[in-house]
Amino acid sequence: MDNNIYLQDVTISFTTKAGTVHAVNHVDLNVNSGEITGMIGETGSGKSVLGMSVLRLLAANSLISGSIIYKNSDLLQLAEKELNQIRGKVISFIPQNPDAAFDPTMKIGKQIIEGFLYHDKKSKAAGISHGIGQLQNYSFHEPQKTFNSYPFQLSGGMRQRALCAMGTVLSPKWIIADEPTKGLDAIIRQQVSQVFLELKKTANSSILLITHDLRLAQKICDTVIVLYAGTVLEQGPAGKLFDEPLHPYTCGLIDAQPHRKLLPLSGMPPSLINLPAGCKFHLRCSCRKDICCLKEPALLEVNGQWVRCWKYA
Amino acid sequence: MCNIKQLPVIYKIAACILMLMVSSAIFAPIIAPYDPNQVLPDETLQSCSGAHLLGTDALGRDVFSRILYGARVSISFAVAAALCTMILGVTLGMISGYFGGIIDTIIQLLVNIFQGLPGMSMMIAIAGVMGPSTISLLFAVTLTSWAGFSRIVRGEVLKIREENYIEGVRSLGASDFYILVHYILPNIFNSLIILFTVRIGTIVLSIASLSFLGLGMQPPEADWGAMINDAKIYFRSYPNLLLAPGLCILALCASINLIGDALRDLFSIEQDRNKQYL
Amino acid sequence: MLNISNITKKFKSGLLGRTHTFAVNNVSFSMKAGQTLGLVGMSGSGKSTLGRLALKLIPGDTGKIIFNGIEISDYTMKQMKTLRKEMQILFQNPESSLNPRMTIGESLEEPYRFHDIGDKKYLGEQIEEQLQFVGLGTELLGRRPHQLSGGQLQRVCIARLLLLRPKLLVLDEPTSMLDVSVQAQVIEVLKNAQKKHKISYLFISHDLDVIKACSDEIAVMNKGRIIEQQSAEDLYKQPQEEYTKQLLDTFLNF
Repeated sequence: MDNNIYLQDVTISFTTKAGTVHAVNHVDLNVNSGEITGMIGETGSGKSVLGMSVLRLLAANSLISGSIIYKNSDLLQLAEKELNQIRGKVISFIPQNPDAAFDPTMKIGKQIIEGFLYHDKKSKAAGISHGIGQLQNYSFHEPQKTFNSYPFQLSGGMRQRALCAMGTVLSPKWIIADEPTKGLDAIIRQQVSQVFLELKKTANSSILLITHDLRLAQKICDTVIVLYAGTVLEQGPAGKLFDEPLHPYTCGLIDAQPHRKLLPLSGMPPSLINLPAGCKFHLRCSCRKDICCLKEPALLEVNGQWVRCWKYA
Repeated sequence: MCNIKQLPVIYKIAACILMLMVSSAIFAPIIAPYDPNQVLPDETLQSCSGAHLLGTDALGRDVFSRILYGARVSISFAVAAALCTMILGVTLGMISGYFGGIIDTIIQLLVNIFQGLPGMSMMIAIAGVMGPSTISLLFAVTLTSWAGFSRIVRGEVLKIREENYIEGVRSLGASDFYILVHYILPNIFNSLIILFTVRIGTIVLSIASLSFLGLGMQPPEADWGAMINDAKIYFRSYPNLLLAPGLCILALCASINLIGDALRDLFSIEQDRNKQYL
Repeated sequence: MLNISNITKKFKSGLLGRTHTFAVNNVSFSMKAGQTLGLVGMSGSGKSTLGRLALKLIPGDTGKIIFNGIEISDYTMKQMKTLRKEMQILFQNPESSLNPRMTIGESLEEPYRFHDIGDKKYLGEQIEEQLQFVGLGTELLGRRPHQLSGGQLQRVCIARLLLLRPKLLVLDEPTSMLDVSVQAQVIEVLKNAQKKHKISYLFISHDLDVIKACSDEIAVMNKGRIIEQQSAEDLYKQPQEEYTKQLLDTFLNF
């Protein structure tokens, strides 16, 4: 039995006043364990929604179909009680925005070891020493002091690291991190990426990294998945995908980076209420053919990469 | 913004109740079967009947007619007093929060003084010194309740003042007055509506207390608060005397508060948490 | 066109304001017309404060600001009003840069309320022209900010600034909240505007890639001081200061 997470035909929609929002559409994925898997895409590509759906953390107006299989059980079918044994302990989720993720009136340390005390039923003293050790692992120079600080007393980078410490306090097998470097400057981004590499190496954790920071994905990921309008457009080993991108959208994203050509991708992501027919990307695509507007291509294997484009069909 | 048709039915009920109350206050002379101050010595303390829908009080005055005329006094006075309170409180609160510095210190000092003094005794003192009249009552109510109002407004302003769009419009060359009127005021409007409606409820009750002390509406003028106070000796045997004005005050306050909530929903900018996926 | 010398800004904190933190400490720099000065530094280095000081959006403690040959360091806020037209700021977070209660059209008309520029017909034409310039259509005019995406909002903000034909724009991390693809769009618009109207940019960012792609000259800021200023090319080839070297190292080898 492997530790991979299998997503099978996952479709997620939200009911809103404006209409049904199709955030994720028929996603089939194998996320391999022991790797850092990057999930990249623009705002509204459904990457965060997909990440949160693994632990069923979505809002009440969401509708999920398909299955997410981990160790022979479907996470989408588990009872809430069974899922709580998995949340944080086996699969943990590190949310976006460390400024909002902490309770401002509670000390950092207490928040970090909350999950530990809940799952392991250990004494408080054991929890505290574990929490301080945990902070030490995340290169806090004065873990004791940080443990007793309030969130507002830490800098943005420290909060992000503390958030990672909180997410990994039970040494979970899987970590799903949602935009861990958003809005951070270069030095802090470097520290955070170091943390993830360390986790993979020492704790042997598997990581699903949701990000729009292409440089981060290129640097630390083993596999990269490109999402667009809730659909997987391309998937492949990070090195290959960034060096020889196949899908026009991936090419566009890479060329838009400031250290590449800084070439804007024309147009905007489609409305998720009225999804375009055919290939989801055809409205912005420079190599559009007639068939692209009519029929959605299948995800095909090309030289060890998977791509959803008529160019390769 | 959401549509009027999408509002929950409870808000519509509240609106109907308020409309009913306001229109019955306006048309009181037409609807009322008796003169509210007409004393009928032969018909004192009657219970509900066809002749007297809600019975009569200890002096034989028709309770239903008094309720109708009382609505005129209570509603118009409460709205006027709440408006005065709001104008004073909002102006001072906005100035205090927006300009800060020494102006803020002085206004907050005043706020602290006024909030520190017990409201009811202040009202009694003011109404007592100025003599019982509608103007002095208005003055007393405004002076004792603006402070809380302005404090909340100041807090809201402090929050909005930090937004980028304020700094942005200032760098475009906007004057302080323009920012206050076009930027600050519309963005605290939601809180103002809620404060205003809650305040109306409290004011109705304050007048009731003052009327009890003889400093409010002067007898024989009909006022819901005064009616409750008149009724308190008899309410064990004649609960209709207490229940009729009491329920009216309750219905008025509740419907105004609900309408405040509805207005807030109507004017609020939709915080659609699903926006990120659209 | 803009000359700043020895400017300092202290923030008081602690009990009775006894602790002084130098947000900007004795900084001098100058900007040339139609060029971009990149201001790079990590969070808390004081770069945003410096940008606001340069526009006199906040008063400085000491120092001299000379804009187009006029010394404005001692100008009162009222005297600044005529100059406001020429010096503007673009913010990091487009979601909070426009009044949420105004439609896009109302926000775009605002610059004309404060400055006498032209009649109503001219105004409509101008708004349409600027919207087109930033790549948006007039159908947005009736919408409110929360109905637009971050990239669209940022472009609306740029159009609004361009209406006043500014000479100096402070760009305070204008793309750090945007997606890569949108970032490229916004930068393209900014570059076109600079070419067309000869605007000088003070481009504040912590992203060395973006700064490199946009600036003619770059100043590196650390702990409230500008520690190094060079032409963009030279800075990346031969950084002088140890801190700059470290910064480039962390970022570019990332």
